[in-house]
Amino acid sequence: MQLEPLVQAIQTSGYDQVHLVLEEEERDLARFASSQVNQYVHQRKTDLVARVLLPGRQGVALVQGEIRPETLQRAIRQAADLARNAPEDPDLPPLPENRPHRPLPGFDAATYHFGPREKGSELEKLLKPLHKAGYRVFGTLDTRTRTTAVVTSTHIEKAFRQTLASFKVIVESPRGGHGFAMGVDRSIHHLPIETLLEHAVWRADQASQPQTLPPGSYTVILDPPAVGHLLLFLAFMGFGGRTIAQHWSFLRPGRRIMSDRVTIVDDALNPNTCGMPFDYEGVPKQRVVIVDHGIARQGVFDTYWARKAGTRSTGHALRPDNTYGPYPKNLVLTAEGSGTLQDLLARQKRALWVSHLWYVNFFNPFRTQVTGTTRDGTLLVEDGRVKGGVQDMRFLVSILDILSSVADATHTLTLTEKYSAHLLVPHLVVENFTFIAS
Amino acid sequence: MKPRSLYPAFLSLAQRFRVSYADLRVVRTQRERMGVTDDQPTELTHEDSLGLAVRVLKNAGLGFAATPYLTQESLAEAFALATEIAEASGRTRHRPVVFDPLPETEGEYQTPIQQDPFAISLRERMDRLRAITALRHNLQGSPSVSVFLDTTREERWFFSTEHRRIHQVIYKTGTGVTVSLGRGHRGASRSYPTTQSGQYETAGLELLDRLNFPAHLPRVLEEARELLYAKDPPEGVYDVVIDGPLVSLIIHESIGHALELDRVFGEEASFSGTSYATVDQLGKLRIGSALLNIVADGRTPRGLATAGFDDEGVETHAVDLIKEGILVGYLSNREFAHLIGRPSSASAFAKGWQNLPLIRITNVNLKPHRGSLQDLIAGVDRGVYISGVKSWSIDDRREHFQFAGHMGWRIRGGRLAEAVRAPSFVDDTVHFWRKLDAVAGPEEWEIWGTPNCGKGEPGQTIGTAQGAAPARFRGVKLVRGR
Repeated sequence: MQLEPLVQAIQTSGYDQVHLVLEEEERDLARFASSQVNQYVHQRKTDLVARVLLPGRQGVALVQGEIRPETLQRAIRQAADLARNAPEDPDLPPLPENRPHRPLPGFDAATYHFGPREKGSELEKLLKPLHKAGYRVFGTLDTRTRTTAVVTSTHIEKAFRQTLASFKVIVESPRGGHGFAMGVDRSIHHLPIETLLEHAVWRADQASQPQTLPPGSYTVILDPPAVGHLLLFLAFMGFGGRTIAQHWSFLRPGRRIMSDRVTIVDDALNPNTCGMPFDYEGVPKQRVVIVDHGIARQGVFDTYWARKAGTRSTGHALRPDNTYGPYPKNLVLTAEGSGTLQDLLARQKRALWVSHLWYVNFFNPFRTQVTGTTRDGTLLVEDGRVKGGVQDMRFLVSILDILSSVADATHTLTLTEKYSAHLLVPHLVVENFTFIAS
Repeated sequence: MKPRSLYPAFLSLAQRFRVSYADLRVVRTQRERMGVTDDQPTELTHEDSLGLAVRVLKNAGLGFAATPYLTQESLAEAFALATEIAEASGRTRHRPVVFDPLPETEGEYQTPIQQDPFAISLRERMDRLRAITALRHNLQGSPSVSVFLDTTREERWFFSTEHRRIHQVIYKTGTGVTVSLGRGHRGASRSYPTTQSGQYETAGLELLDRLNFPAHLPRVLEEARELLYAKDPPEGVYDVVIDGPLVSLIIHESIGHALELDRVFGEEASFSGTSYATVDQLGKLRIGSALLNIVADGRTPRGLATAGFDDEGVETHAVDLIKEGILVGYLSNREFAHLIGRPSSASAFAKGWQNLPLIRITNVNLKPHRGSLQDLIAGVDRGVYISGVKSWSIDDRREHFQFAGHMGWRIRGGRLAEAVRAPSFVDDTVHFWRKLDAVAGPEEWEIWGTPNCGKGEPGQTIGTAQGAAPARFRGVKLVRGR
């Protein structure tokens, strides 16, 4: 991506404080259902976000479509017009100054070129034998290439190009059991597609003719997609600088909020989290320790909410057209544990093994309570062995309580993806996980 | 390049690539979102989006490609890619994608509006919002007042190899006001006319006048004050009366999504899930009591999904989904409707130009019956009136759910008593709707807009609507978190 047109547009705009974000994305996504490709889309998108700051005021303009030099000027003028008409905000900080960021790996050419022919062949190879064997297979095979550029009148000129590949699969066995698996990586060739599919098939076979269990408290083994989902909701409720500044957050520095086994950091600089090296203000990403062995430490900030909270940006600004506030998109949860998934399973007297969660929503955010259901292959484990499938159940839990009840964890972390966040997490064993309905 | 001038090139490409069907959509979306809390801006954003998408049917498969460039070269590139995708998809298919033919047509539609938001200056619109937040100075207790205005103008062009040429201009406006007392965990807030994301309609700026925020602010403040000191809701089995916005959401989640025919056929199992309302139960399944009458109507006045045509170029019309409690129809598109021997219900919509049209909830309306909200409450000896939306969750077959109202009031002897916080209930869809024993009359009925309904991969967030009136349910299980 050429940054020069953006720099020129700012220089000729006549405004002192201009912030441009240009994002180009090319996405090639095949969905499959009942063992055939049912929806396959190829999208090219270009988003330009212009933000103009006038004294105490700002405006934001978003243009989606073809970006030409006149488009850049029009967007800047539009943002300035909005700023002139905006109510005054005395807390509005100036644009951040340029600071160097650490380089990160991002682009994988093989992933970029993995198009319809390659996906069609791969899926034909995977789906046809299972279809013949009576399985129904659902899921997605997705490759994305995104280039993000941030250019400001404060001499920030940065761009980052990255690829992502993901595979998600749900298998329904001939006897009605369901299994789930997912994986995400920068490179399509590092994605263990066949292994993931094999696991989903195995799980569907194990979960056939699932039994109904009564509501109550159970020990659960949560697979990484379930752990990631809950961690993401916890982050919504308290890790962002806006929730902290507005007194919604449970994060009180120095206070014990979960098991001393658990540490949570946001770390885009860890290459395994597939993060960007800078945020949408061009501020370098920092590794932020949010919870250290169960003790609350600090949240994540952008420039605006950092000023409100009397601190500095940690490099967690979202795009200027997103008003949610700063957010951690590369969370890493580690928990002191005793080995592999097989070790964890072998130690369970009686537990439910949960693959992923569905429709998690806030119940009482003040208590970090959420509700949702299990989905696609919940298994009953007794005396260290899988005994069969269990019908999906509705849970009602406090996420802080869950993370206070971690009994064990795997050493290995797995990358999972939810709502454009990447979460590097282990399998967790959690006691007293409450189900309120079968 | 003007969208209409792409049509001849599009037809030539369809011949060159020997496709059995193709359509071209061009969409331009202009949107402005503005929000103010007291004196402070919360949002001021302008969006302008323009691009095209091609959909191709070839060798049993369906292909889709979208690009922001409106040139003949770019169209040809997208067409070639969509064809390649259709061929690659077709190799995996054991059920070919088939569309029943449609006749040639030339169509035009525009949302009827009284005040074009984009013809009114930004300054004037912002001043109107600030005038609303300034009313806080007249209210007791120094409340904080937030208001937002979200206006969209979407121009859609549709061309197909069946010679359907359609042009539509759709206006959407959303707004709402929230009054807050205290802050953070110790605060309480209440909104009008709905909680969550405000009211959205296909309308112009006249919506702001019609909702008349100044007249409602004192009541909203009083409710916020009641909520501040409200007790926990009761647990156990109670009769409940539910207000229109929450009934609307329950319709959306438990009926609207469940009757999307692609879900019913398992096509959304990888993400949104499936449905309890399988096609073998069409005409047989009792989803609710005889008072449950649901119609999908893509032309409901002010409905957020109202348009002349859907994004497959099919004329919108009304379709019965549930009659006297019995499942009688589905929301469908051209790919799935013929699988149950029916025409499309014109429910295929996409977010913008860059996404594939999917079967979406349109305006899915509960028919009103009779009586007022007060009449419904008077019929309850021991129960709870639940108002607004706080949270919800439903399983992937749309069977088992949890909903929490924003606040509620105990009902004793047919009268409202003390306020309670966020009453929450769990139930199964068909058990719940069979408990429906009263729906208020037309004077209480409103078409509630839902601006943020998500579906599909890549995710598409679009607007739907549900017409609803307050309704009464007998014997609902209220739950409370520990």
